[in-house]
Amino acid sequence: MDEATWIQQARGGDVSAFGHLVQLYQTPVYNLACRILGDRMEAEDAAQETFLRAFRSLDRYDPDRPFRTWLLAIAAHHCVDRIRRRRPALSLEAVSLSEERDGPEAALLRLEVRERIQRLLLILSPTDRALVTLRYWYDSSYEEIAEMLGLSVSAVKSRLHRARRALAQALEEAE
Amino acid sequence: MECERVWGWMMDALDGALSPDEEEALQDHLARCAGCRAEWGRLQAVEQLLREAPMVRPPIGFTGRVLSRLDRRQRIRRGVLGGIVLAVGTVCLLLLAAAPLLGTLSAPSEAFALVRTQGLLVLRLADVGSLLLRSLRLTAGALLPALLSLGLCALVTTLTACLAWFGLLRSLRPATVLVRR
Repeated sequence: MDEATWIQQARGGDVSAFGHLVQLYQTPVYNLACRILGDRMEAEDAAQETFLRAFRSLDRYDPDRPFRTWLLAIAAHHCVDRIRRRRPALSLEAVSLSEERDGPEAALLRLEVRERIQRLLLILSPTDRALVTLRYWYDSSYEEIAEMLGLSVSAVKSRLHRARRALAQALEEAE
Repeated sequence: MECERVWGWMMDALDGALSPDEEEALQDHLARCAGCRAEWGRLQAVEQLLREAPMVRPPIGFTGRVLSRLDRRQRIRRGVLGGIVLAVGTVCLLLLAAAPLLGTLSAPSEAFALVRTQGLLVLRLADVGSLLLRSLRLTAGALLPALLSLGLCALVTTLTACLAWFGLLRSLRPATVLVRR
């Protein structure tokens, strides 16, 4: 069966059809949540919540638009909202430790790259983190990002340019 | 001034949207300007880091956890709806049980008694109406204890069912938290 059929069945309340959609999109949604939130535990919760919200809002989904774009928009908004509601307790060190705990020795090198990029991303605002992630991990166009984040195309462009400059600056300071 | 223009070219180059002429002008400028050359080097390093970063995969069993959370949430929603229906039922039964106490029949009876003084025809009609209502009041009075006990029994049963229902919901809630962690 294809994606459109699963969506159709899930709209009628079929939980197992929705399970196929979760299986298909769990990595993109979880990765986006991880990149924006910077914490794996919270990202798991946010990704789960994204799918629950999507299930509840399936009636509002327009089948003419890509499902992935619609789902990632829900995830991005939810994660940005979470950070805004979050108490200022999570430090960069906390993020780093939570990453280090679950990696075996052999994966340390890969982990270093991932942690480095994660630390860099955390200097950006939540919306800019979402924007950079959508651009680099999902190859989304400026138009798609604008639609997903509810911004104008020119705002996306100028924010991405500023974010690149800020990241370059931070990378130089880190080295 | 020129460096600002070159900055725009750098961004277009990173987006793969630079024309060959602009590319040439950018390279010319970079060959002459050390500041922009350093900036371009940093931007490319970030670009490489971002492009090489892998997708983070969710822990095993993610789909199962989403579906079990969805299932619990649907059960809770159904539970709350059921609770609302039970509560509305309780209120209805309460009203039913209290109806004979409200004295709804006494007011029209008095109105008829007032009309009795207005004329012969009206007097007869009022007499009949008054009699009818008095008999109804007597019947209602006789049935009152039975209706009250019936209503109270139904109320107790409904409240017990409500408490059992919400007890069940509370027992579901800790399980939801466990799944979330």
